[in-house]
Amino acid sequence: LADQFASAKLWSEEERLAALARYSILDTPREPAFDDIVRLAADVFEAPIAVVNLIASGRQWFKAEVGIGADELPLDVSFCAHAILQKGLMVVADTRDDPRFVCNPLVTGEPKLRFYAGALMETPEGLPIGTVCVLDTKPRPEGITARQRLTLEVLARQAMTHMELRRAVALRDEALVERSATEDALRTHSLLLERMSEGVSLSDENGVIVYTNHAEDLMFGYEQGELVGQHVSVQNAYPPEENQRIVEEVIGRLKSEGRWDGEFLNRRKDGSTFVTASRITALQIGERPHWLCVQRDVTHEMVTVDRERFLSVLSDRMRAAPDPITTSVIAGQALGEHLGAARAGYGEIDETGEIVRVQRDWTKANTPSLAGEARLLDAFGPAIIAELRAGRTLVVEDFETDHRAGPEYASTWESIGTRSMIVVPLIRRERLQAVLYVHEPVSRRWTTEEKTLAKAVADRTWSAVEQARAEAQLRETSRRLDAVLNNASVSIFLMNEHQECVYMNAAAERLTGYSLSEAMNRILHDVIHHKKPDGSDYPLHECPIDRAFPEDNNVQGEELFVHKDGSFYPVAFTASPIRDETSRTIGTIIEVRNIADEKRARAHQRLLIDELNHRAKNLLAIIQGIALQTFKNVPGAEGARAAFDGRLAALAEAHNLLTRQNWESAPLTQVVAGAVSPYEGTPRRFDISGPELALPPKTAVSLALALHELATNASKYGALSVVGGRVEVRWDVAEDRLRLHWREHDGPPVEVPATRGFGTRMLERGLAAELGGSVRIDFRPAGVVCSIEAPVEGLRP
Amino acid sequence: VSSLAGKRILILEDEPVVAMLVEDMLVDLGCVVVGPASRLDEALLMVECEELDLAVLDINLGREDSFPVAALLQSRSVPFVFATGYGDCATPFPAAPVVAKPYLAHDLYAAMQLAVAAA
Repeated sequence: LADQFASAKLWSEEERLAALARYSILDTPREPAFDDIVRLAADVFEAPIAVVNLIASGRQWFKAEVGIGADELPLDVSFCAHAILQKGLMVVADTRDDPRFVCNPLVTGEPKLRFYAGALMETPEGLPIGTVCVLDTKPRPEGITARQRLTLEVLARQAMTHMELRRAVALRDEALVERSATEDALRTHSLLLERMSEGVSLSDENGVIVYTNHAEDLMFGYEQGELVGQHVSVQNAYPPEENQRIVEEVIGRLKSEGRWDGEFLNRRKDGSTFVTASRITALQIGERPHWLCVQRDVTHEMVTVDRERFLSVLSDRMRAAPDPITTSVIAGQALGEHLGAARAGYGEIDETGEIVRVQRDWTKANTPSLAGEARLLDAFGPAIIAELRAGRTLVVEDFETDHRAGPEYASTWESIGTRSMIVVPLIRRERLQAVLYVHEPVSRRWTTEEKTLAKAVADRTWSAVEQARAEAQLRETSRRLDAVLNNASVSIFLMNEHQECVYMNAAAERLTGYSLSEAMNRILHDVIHHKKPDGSDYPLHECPIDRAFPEDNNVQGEELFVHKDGSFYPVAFTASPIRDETSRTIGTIIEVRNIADEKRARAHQRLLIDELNHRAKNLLAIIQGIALQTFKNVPGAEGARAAFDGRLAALAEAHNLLTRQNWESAPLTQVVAGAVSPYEGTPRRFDISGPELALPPKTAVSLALALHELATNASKYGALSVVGGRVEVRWDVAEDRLRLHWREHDGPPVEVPATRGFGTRMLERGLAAELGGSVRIDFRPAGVVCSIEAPVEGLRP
Repeated sequence: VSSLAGKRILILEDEPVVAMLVEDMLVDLGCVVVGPASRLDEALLMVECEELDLAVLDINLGREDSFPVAALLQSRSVPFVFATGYGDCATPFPAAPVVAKPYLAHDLYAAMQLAVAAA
């Protein structure tokens, strides 16, 4: 089919498709104007189907339709594709009689179209883009009437007219949008130019000004538009020959670089001059070259720049000064020389606010220094001091004419050879702390700039002096800390938040074998703690010292460190986190002590105690042996011997307990349990309970022997002498007193003994004296009760 | 009558009074006492030459200790009991019971029964 379109001589398919595209109609929504056309066509023809059909590339698209129910169909089933190949109207009375359509699927299959009439839609250039057509499922051998023909042709033209109209409206809208954007841009640009703080002027190739903005007029003192038409030379303040040179330079630069940047001396309308920072750019407007000049007044900035430069140099010099006094002299000299004054200096006011102290000041040749102390109030009078205390900069042009410097103080001014001065006060914490002064022997009218400068220098001097003082203090503190740290016998390490070593004191260097520079910025653990005693690697994350940082609390313990020479040594350490002002942990401080000697001493002490204990035990064994031999052949002494053996055993048991505690103390529970253990049975006969308490050695031995006596007595006569008898041993600590009770239950009826034996005496006298308390034994019929009461204070080792 | 009646028991103890004490305790139990030996070489010789059922060994013999005797006894499958003045001391022979001096006859008897039972 495309070939058929292309073969038509009057137009090419590309032209036709381009023409269609210009209407931007394909795939747009339905519109009433086109819907009316198809409704009218169907009505006039009394046909079921009518379409406004546009032949696009590969498809026919329906702008309006009745009876089809689709937006588009493929071209190969199209009737209209044939219709557009011929001018005017195409009528097919019966499609089955027309070889072009007899095989068309819309004819052979549903909806079985039999009749077609289509009128061509042509663009004004004569390109066919579609049809208005009607279709019927019945053949119409009679053809169409003249009226139907006219209607269809009119409707096709009507459809085309609507297409044209749509396009015209679209074009107009576009143009409107474009024009308003241009106008907006122009308005914006001109507003920008007029509101700019920089002056803008445009001049032509002959130097005639053609435009100035508001800022330019204002800067040069002209009315709006007054400069237009004048030559640019009215604006510059250079003499003619100088001006010539500058113009040549500007033109040369414009040719080589397209612009010129620099400072320019200008003249206002009133003849006064000022300096601008200017940029001149060459630009083409129409056929002719123009110069665009953008500039701003920098007269004020130049003074400021000069002051800033002076202050910046001064600050650098003061920072480099070795001490606060030099700092203040540097300030005085810089300011005095800069202002061409006779004397300048810095004095500090003491706590009373009365006395000013000047360490050293700067003076011109033949001018005496004011170094020393003076009573401010007495010297200058209350009016001047009030100014300073109020924080106002004092400016005196001539003391003889200044009402604040009364005649009674004239002698002061004369004695220091001064007629005129600037004094800047420093108020800190609501108190006059210091002054910066500039003195002149003659009267002087100080300019605003000079006063401003003096004030600025004063501000910087205070900062610099304070800083120098703080640094001096810091150096002193640092030196003291160094001395303390390096003379400390404990080793001190500092780690940052990455657990890298940032400090070691001298003791730490001796301990580890490493110098600070060797360990600096290395992970401390990797330097001194990297191996376990078995030679295996010790990973950082297992190290308890390094946990002080991550876990954020104090860690103490003992570890083995590795010396630089590879040997191991035992240490006790305390690791504590270091926090910044916001309590954030930023590192760790580690104190370390070599405990090799302590460990040796402890081992030695252990050995001695063991040996001592061994000998004591042997002695007890020997005593036991002697007793045995002594009693052996004495008739009726078996009981005495058994009692002796039991007491000896109780003594030995108490010794054992104390040996385990290095003879420092013995836990009360174990003392009780040990003393009664020979009499314990199954099921248990003793009920022992009470809070733990550490007893001193001597008390422990006395108590053990006493309890042994009670237990022995119980086993002979009391609760332990019968099956089912029990003993309760309970104690508590209240109001700093220990109360211990021995209570026998379920024993035989108790009789008060006629005589007091060793056991009873041991308890009531020996133990009571030892405890500094009281011991009472009650031989109650239901069971013996022994009550022990003693102050806890005396029981603590 | 004790279960150890008639057993031949070696005593190694360098302190004579204590040796007598042990001897009396064993005799009371109906045992036959071998020794007492007071020195290491003496004890070793007795182990070599005597028929033994059990031994009571003091660990500390002044400058030497009784472990060589224990080793020899072990090689001959003779059970033994250590006696010592040191508190809770560990010996190279963990299976052998230890009684702490001073001890009572029934302490010793219990330890010896334990040693025989373990053998």
